[in-house]
Amino acid sequence: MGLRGALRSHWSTRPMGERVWLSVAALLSLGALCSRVHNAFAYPPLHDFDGPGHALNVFAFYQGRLPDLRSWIGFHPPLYHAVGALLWHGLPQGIPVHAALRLLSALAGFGAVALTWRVLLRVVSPVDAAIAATLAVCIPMVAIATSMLGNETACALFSTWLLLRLTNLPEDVERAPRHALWTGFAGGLAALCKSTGLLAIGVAGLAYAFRYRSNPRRAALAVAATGGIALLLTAPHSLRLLVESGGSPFAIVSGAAMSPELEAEMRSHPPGERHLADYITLPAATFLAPVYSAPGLERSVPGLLYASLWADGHAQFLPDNVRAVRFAAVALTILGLVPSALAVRGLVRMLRSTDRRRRFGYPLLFAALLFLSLLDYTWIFPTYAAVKASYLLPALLPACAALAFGLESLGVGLGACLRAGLLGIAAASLVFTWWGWWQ
Amino acid sequence: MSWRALVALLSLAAHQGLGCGPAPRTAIATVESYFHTLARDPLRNLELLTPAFHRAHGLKPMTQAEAKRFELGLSPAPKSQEHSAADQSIGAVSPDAARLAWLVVQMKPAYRRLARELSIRPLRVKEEAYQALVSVSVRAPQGPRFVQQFALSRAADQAPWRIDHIDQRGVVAANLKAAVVAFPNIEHQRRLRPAASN
Repeated sequence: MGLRGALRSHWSTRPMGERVWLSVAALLSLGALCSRVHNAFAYPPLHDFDGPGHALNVFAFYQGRLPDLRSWIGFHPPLYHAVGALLWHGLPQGIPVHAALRLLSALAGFGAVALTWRVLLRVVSPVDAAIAATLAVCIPMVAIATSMLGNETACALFSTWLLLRLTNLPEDVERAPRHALWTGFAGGLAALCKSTGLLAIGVAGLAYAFRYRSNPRRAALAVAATGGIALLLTAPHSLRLLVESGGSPFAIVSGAAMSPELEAEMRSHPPGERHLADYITLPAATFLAPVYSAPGLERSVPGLLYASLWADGHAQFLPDNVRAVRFAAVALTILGLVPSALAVRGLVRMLRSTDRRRRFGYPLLFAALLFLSLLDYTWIFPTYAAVKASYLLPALLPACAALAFGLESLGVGLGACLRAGLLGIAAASLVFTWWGWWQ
Repeated sequence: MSWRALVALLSLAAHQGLGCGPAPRTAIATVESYFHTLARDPLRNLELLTPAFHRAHGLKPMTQAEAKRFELGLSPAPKSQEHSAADQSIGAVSPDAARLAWLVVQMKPAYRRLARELSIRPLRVKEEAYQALVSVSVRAPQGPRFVQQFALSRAADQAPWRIDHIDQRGVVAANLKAAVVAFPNIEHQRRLRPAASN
């Protein structure tokens, strides 16, 4: 029996209700794919987050040279830009280069969601796995990140691959070093896309050390394998940054260390200063006018993070002066409370269950550290542009797992209502992020 | 229809519809490509320009504060003597900074709109082995036509032509905006600034 036969047989044995849920989820995911292709061409060139900077890095590789480390985002690791340049060399003249770079970013984002879905299939029902993955690919933050050129989604793809491996650490300690080698490779690729990947490598090293602590020799070998391969991949770029910056390790994570002018420009964005209150205030504008220029939102870290998760908090992708867009953004941020609450419920259940804690403990640790490092970044650079939910994209896997566990915990009646609700929110997000729908 | 037929059909459609032709080979084709890619495919546009071109247009990335003042039609904030001297030095704008400014200028919605409305007519093409001069007449929806002359060069016989320099003639107040779109440069930016404040 071929693949087609196997799929047909697998599908026909499923209950009718399940088939309906899966069909709707598949249709929405297909819609998301179409939306990204449309957005790649329809969204104006280089309006993407740091679009001209990323474009310039790609151009440098296209010309066969390394990017200027002192340019806007010249310090970023090279993998996405180098692959983008290769793609450009083989690109038909009729396809704009920026559109191809956006499609590359979309491909990486969909890859990250596909890997997440694969993990979820092992731990929850196919319906809940499909609904969580579908919502993930449709929500405004992911939709906008995968509609723009940039290295966020590529980093998310390889970080998700790394985290996937950490959910499935081998029981046999003898296999640990070999397993760690591939994990280090995934981490190295993530760090070659964006410095966030370094955090994933650190968590992976910790995971091997802790999990195999009963056999210190094997544990050390596994840690060395993870770190060694990751170091091998990232060392040339990191060394270049260290040499050019006069030895500042800060240069690996921010362009500010390379250029005082760049640092001054980064700091010139509002609000310009940060207080502890910014981390605990949630202004009403988060739900009533979810865009950074709304009263109080420019300062509020949780408010802007939420607004950039469920709407376009930075008004970078959608116009903030169109009434229909503003109305849709308000509706989505309010509706977004439902999946957010479900994810929190799922997170609590994950932490309470020994089995799930064991499986998802390291991805959750990574998510927590990523969140803390984002808070730290917003403290160092007190600008609204630093408060972006898409910086948390590498933690897609634990976030989706929390949502899926939240869904799983519901009773039959409420569960069906909320599953339908989540697919409705996914559909609404799809329309909301279809560039140009308001015209 | 089998999936192979579908793939073949899609490939054919892509080849016909997306213009899978070669990159521009002649000097005039390079100039046409320059206008075609302005604000539509800014990276391919960047590919057509030499470092000498970027040194000549004189654009540099604006800081947040400078951009705000420019939008309000205000003159630049006074700078210290030291700062002004640095600005005037040749090395003040790195090649990548000039390229960045060239990309950023094409992002404005008004620029994109006008770039789509420009039409050109070749006036004169003089192509030698490694140097070429191409003059085109540029027409915008408003204002009189103006002439844009391109100096191009190439490194070898089969190498692609690249634009080294652009000159414009016949630019008056009525077609200044179109001239800015056809060739953004620091001189135009200075001329536009007082206009913005009125």
